[in-house]
Amino acid sequence: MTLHTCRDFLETGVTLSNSSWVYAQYLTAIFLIGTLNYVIVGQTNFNLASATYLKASGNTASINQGGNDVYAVAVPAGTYVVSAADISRILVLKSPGNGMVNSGLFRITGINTTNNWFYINYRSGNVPPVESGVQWSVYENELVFYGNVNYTGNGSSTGYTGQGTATQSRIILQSPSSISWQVRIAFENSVDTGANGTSPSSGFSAGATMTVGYGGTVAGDFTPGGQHTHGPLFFNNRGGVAGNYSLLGTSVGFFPADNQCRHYYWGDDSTGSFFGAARPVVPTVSTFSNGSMVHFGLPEDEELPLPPHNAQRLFVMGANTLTNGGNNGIYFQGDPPAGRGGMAFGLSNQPISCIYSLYNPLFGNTFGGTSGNNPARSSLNAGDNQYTASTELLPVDLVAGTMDYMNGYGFNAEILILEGRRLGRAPFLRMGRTNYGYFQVSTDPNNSWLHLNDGIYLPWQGAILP
Amino acid sequence: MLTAKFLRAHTMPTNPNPWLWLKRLMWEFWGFCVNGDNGLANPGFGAFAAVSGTQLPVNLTTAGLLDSGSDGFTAVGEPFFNTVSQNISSSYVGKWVVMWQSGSNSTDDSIYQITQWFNSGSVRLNVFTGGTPYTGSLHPSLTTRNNINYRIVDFAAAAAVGGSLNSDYMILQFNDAGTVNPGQASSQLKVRFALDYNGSDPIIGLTMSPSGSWGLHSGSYGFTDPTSELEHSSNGGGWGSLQSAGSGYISFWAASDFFIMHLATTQNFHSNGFHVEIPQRLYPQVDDPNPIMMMEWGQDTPSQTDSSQMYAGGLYMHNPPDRSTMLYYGMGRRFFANDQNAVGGQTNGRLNGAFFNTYQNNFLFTDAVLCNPQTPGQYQLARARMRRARFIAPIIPQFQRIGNNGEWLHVINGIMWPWDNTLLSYNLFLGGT
Repeated sequence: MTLHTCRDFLETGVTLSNSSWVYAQYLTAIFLIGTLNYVIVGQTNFNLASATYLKASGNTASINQGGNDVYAVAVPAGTYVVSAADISRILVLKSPGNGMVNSGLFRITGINTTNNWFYINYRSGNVPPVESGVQWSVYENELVFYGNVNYTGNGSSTGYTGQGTATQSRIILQSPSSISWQVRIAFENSVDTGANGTSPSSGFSAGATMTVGYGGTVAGDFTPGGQHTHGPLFFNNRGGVAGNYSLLGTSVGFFPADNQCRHYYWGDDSTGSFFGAARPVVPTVSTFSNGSMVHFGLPEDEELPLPPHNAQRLFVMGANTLTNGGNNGIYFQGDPPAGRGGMAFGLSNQPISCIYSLYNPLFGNTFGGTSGNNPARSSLNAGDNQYTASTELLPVDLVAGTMDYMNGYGFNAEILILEGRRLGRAPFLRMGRTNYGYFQVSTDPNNSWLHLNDGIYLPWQGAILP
Repeated sequence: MLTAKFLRAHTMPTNPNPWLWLKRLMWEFWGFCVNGDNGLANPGFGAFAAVSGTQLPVNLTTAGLLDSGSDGFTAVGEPFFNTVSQNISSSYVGKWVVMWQSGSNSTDDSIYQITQWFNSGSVRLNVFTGGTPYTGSLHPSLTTRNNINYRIVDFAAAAAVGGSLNSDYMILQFNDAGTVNPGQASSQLKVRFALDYNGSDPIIGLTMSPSGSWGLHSGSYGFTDPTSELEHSSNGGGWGSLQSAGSGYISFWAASDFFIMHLATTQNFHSNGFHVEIPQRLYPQVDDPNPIMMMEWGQDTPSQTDSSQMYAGGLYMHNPPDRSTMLYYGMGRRFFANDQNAVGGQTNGRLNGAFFNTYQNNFLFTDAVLCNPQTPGQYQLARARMRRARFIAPIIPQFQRIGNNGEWLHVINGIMWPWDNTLLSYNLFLGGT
């Protein structure tokens, strides 16, 4: 496993009125392709291989040219000649030896035509380690994608309409994992989401979803009844229109607020597992003002014996309603009222729930804490551990099949099969005390962990911008 | 040896001094069945602290020893105990055979009542108090073994010696602590058979020594790193009627890294017991070299849902930074995507399927870690992980065997203790839970 991070990519746009939820799909996809080596299986109006988006790529970039040019990335002129048009585009890097700092998405802020260099916004107070042999690709900026994205075109008139001939943007990528699992990143059209006047207006899911599974088509779809985690597509039932809300919440995605966001991504280039977080530059005053997150892939330390089908090993966690205006927050909680949830694929061969399984008091104890039910990690007396003089972190398990509905409305509950099963350990993340600072790094010499929110910690390296 | 051995519902008939009966039973089980070597007169080396490891009434450990030997043999699937020397008297019917082999992993190593005499070389045992699950039926049975060490004991005679003192104790030594956690000393547990609860009531007092420091210090025997003594009785009266005549049922779970006792007398349908184990160390060895934990209940029922005692709120460990005895809370995994809805609180109903996967025929359950979340300046999220208990929603039958190999037994209220996949032939807690 080699972990790569995108450390704090700042969206273009305006602070309080942006389209982060659209950008998030694009930025995630180009990170998966450019840094983790996902490949495109199929798409509709989401052609990231086209010249519209992909301007150039190669394997021999070098970063940090020394002197005043530590943030310069050199690419071979024989492959691509830099130009002023590249400014504001996105340079996607995969570092061969410094994946925690030199990989990820970087805004191109300038060029040097003499040396064929890009100048990038490194988004860190650290100097990049000098490195050559860096895999690189230049993608168009997210505004171009926003101008092209389609999220209204409906396909079939019945069932889940966002498939087949539907024109709303979606793409299926295949992970670099040896078991070749796939992820679908899809904008959900207004019929399926029920946002066209039906009630509840929140529809069955967030406005964009991420689905893991197998059997992606050239149109960028999984199939009804196929091996994947998208409830409405599996059951071919939009399930979010008046009179039938049963499938609400059974598809999840990455759905940050309409505020300008800073994006933080983690990915493993061997399993393809991914964690993404978007942090509003200026959080709105709301309970759910702390950004958004998505998490999918293969668990670590999987429960043995492995299930019969590889699809039954996958998971996805993220936003699952529009209830909170898309501002679903970065929290562990994933039960129906939260606007967040998770899905897996069951031994029953259909989508089932998936949750973060945390250590909490066996019963009854609350500790005067700072969130929800005041669990141990939220104790007012939480602090560094007295033995290790550091913040204590614990692994988090993924458990599937313990919830029979995912929507917050309580309509037509019990839609999901119960088949409680530990999948394994959630990749990358750990749980710890919640009173560590919002998006603050640990104080050890390597700044080796980043606390996002609610006791969610991810691996880190180096300084972070305030 | 880390393989758990069992004494399953040992029947203590009505006798004038059950307190002494219990002491002798513990001494035999821990000293021979769990830690025995090839010595027949004394407990195995290291079972108890080397110097002054026990202080018990005069003759308690010798009275009632009817015979002993090393030539016992048994056959698979049979409930019969045999000796080559043919030294078994017909008068031994109703007495007990304590059997073991040095270094054995066999759960045959236990204590059995003789129920029938065939001849001087062969008797029938009540094999259900120990034994090994027989292939196919999984009922307790004996296995084929030779050269079995044994002691034939009359516990009633031992209990008749009298002389219980408030200062009687055993210093149990956990010789496999270092197997559990690299570098760990053989931690010790002082089990004091106290008579001073509420002034006169019997109760077991537990004191742990993480470093195993029992010895002569400053002129008297004691530990250099003791925890505070734990005595626990939820409903008063200590451990009930053990001091006066009574009867009951006693079960032990033990290996050289843990000891669990469950005792229920027929005079009171609550139970008494304790759970002491070497948990898995989660902190660096240099910071936490010798973790050991204890929990006790008295006149109560084992619980995972009582936030102020037992597994949810009554676990204790020695805290090296300030040498205090620290209270810990058990923390388990939760399965409903929030910080509420602990498994111990689940009731029978719609969500049963969350805890039993019909596609795998498996139950979903959790381990537990020891957490101290609320002492200012001493926050510990998960110091150690319990190895000898698991927790499940209390919606499944009592005494359900759980795990791929039946390695856990749901004893009560969603609490699971180690098991060997044996199918019980009767209620383990005949005297109450």
